[in-house]
Amino acid sequence: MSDKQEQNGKGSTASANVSPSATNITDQERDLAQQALAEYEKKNYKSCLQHLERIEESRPNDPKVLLNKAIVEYYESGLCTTDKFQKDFTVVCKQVELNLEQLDTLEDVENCIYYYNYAVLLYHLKHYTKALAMINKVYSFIESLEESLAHKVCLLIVQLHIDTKKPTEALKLITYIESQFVSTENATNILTGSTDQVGPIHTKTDKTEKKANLDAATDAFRVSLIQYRVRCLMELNSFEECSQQLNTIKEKQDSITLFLLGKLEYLRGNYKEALEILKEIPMKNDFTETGECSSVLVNNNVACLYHYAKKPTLAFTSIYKAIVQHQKNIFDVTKPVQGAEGSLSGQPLHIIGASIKTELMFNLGICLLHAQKPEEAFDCLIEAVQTYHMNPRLWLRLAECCIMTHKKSNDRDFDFKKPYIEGVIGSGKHRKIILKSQLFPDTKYSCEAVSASIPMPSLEFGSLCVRNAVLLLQNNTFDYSPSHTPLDTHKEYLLGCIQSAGAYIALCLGDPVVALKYSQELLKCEKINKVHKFLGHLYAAEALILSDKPNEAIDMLKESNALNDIEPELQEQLTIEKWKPDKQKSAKAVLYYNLAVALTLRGDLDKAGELLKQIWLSKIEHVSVPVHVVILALYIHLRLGQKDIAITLIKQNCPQAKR
Amino acid sequence: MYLSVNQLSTLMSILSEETVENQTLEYLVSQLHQYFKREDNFKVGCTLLMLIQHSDFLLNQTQKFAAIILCYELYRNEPIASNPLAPVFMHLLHKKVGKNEYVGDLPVLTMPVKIFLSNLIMSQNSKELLRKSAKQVLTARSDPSKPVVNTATILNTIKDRRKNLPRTAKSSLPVIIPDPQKTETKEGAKQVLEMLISGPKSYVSHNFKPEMMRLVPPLYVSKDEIAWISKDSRTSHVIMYDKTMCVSTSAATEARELMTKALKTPLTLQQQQHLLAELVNDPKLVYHIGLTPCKLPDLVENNPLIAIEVLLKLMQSHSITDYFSVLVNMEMSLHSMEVVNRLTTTVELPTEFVHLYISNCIVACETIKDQYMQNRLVRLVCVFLQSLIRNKIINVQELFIEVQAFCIDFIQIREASALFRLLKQLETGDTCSIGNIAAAAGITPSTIAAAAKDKDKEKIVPKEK
Repeated sequence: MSDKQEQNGKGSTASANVSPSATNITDQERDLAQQALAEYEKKNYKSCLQHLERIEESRPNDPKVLLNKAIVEYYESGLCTTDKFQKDFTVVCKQVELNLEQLDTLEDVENCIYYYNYAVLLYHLKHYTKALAMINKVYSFIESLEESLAHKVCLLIVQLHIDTKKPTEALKLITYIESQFVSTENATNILTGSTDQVGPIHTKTDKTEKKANLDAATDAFRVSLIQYRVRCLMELNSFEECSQQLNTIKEKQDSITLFLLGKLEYLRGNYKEALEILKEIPMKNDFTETGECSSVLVNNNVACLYHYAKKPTLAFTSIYKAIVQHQKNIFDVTKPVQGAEGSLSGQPLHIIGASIKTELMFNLGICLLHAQKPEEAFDCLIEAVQTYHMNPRLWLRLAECCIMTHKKSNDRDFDFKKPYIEGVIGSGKHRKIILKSQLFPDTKYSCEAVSASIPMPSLEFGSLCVRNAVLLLQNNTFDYSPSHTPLDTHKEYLLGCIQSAGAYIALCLGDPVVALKYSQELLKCEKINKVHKFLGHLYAAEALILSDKPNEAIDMLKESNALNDIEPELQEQLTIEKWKPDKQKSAKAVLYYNLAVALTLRGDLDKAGELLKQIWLSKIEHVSVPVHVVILALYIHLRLGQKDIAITLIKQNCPQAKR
Repeated sequence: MYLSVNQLSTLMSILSEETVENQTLEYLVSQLHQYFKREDNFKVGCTLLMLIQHSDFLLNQTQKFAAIILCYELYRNEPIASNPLAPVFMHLLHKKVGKNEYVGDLPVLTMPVKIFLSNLIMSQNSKELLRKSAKQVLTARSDPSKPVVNTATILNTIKDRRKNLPRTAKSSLPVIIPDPQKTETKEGAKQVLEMLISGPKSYVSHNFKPEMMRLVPPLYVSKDEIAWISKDSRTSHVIMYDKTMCVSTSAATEARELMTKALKTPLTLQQQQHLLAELVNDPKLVYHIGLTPCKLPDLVENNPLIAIEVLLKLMQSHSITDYFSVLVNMEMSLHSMEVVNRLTTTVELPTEFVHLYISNCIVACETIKDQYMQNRLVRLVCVFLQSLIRNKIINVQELFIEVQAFCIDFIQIREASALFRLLKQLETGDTCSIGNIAAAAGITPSTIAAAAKDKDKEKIVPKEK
């Protein structure tokens, strides 16, 4: 619709255009129009079109006839000829001298139908902001619109407010709409139940008497509004109110309501209840008609529940099923239409914007990450981030994929069974014990000539992900789609995660300055998660050591109070993954070990040795301690010239060396 | 691979017992430079150092000494301070015997060796010194006339250089730890050396130092991140057929035509009644008769009664404020005043609109040129204001100064002075006689709001008192 005519501002003359069409209507034309409408409502588009063509013969310039003809032809093609419809539509608009890009030209209520239809097109093509501006304009004429159109306008304006993340405004609209369109039929106080609603209060007898008179259409409208309200309230985390609202329409168990009920239970953490609700949803595949497939959605949602019930394999299987089915659905409805060309043809209008593949890929990625498959997860999430690039959590997840690809977990750091010497060479007088130059290859200085911005699960790309996430949070320009928007208080924890990841990656890349910056910012936070505080101290100290400031590092570790009450937050972490250290004592061993390293580097070998002894004693009490302690002890003994003790130490702890 | 197997055996043959015993140091050095390129110097140096540190490869003291000299000669042409192996020599020269410190098992030098080495390092012409064979140096008696040359300056330079290195860079130890056993030796020295130096990992170049433990941060925990997808009912938003096609009723058409007419000329009483009746019949008709805010002034001027009815019907509409602002800002006239007055008595208008209207009225009176028209307008405004005050539609306190100034300006006009007295009375709180004053001024409510009929008030939502 870009090539619209330039003559705008002529909307005020619209009345002149409409009047000729309004006059001179013969009885025959009126009859034909009625028949056409009847056929249209019965979805007999072919015969409707025949009637319209007959009217067109006598009224070749009536824009209403032309518009309806274009619409019916569009429907007749199964809404598959969007390009052609856009063209026809533009021609009619030209004739009425309407410029749809210029919202000011809408002055006559007669023209609302054009703007509404254009807004619907934009909505299905996912141009939500533009569609919203369009429908807002139409909405200013809402009182004057014919009822069925008015209902449609109301639903669309609410929908678009939700799609553009304006739940509060949407709620206000719903309240007003109910007072204008539903309360006159006397339903308001039955439906809303809550106290802050406007609308007249009626007596009980009045209520029951008139409730029966609600016709089906208005009732459906009323239910839709409540469903929209529930979505807004859910978005605002007002779960109690959601539940109240849903109770008013519970007896109408349509699948939309069931999905909302399930989501509410899901968000409240009642996974069993949510699963029960999902089971009730009828599994018919009407994707072609609705662009939504219950079984795809149910499989996806079941995956959500499995995921949080710590069943990653089941979650993965379920979501994978959803993706396969969804792709098949899309493939099945896509067919070339003869004589209709253009990028928007071949799929029904409501299918064009109905693909939920990105959402599904997002979910799959998160599942895979928790199933310890970071590289596969990365591929899924990188696809999702093309769409959801304003989501800081998604950027963090990508960074986590990069980290996990680099180092799967901390388990190996506590595993004394794994060899931690390189081996033995020679025998007899030539026998040599070979140590490892790095216990674990944690640090990776990049020497490859590959740009960091190439999306692959590398630490370099991970550092860019972290930066994006931080910037989004700092500038308050984020959007958690496709996920549910968490409470505001959650933001600090999220930022803590991002900064920890940033500090870790920077250390691995050999960038202590950046690592120190991230960890210091992390430690500044007032309501810091204890695990993050612990990591913050470790990372900052290591960065200080790498910057050759052992005194500062020692002070940081010595004065660390991160271990006080770390236990509850460690346990919280353990509900979603097996993270180590998993006990306060084990965390303490790590902290002491790093302190011993700092002391060693400063030359305080005796103090370091004392600390190592303490750690060793806790190991005897079955606390997981870092395997690094053996190597550090060895180092200290060698430095002290106690070569024999050192060799005995290796042989005691490393069966490899005994041989 | 650090040094190739061939390079290694070349190096070992230079250092073989036989060569070292029989050849001068000079010869050994020349052999070294002949077989090894400059860029291999560091590798050769590290290998030599390992040979010196371990006791099982160079069994003979002469060989070890020769290795030390070769180490030094590798970087002969560079200042000693920038020789990467310089710390080794300083250790050899300054190491105190008996101090229990592990520095990779460097041997303790005898006095003649120390003298020779210090001389070699400090002298300008070392060629002379190298003419001797290793054995000659080792067996030389210590000569009191040739003491150990002081190398403290060099030591200090080297220490300074090391001071600037980060601790992590100078804390490394070799990864090869000798662990000699009395058991049978299966491999020859050559074989072991090849494994250490020429093997795929060349351990001789590796070292280890204390490492901090770097924990992977835990995954972000969230209970609602995976997206639950609900049905969106996308298909409820559909393209709509225009149901008004060819259904325009004659009543609507007629009303539309009458309205178009009403914008241009006053309608007859019969036409007025007809139009009003149609508007009452169909409450939505008012939106379909082609009236827009900018057309309102024409309607007010030509048919104020219809304007009032239409505005009252539009009260619930979104665009009513647009109509109000047009009304307030239109040119002052009897008709517009009549419409506003009627509206104020029927529905509650936003206060700011009423105030703005009054201000505009006053400004209009002051700026009009024609004396006769001015008098007429002032009298109208005064009566209008009195009506507003009497009906308590405006709180006169808010406009007191403005209205009082207006009265004083036109005090010669009877209605203005009456209004002035009314104001004074209000000021003193004597409200009961307001009606009398107004009556005395000859004003009755009907003079302005003649059209206001009580039955209309019932239809509109009554104002809150």
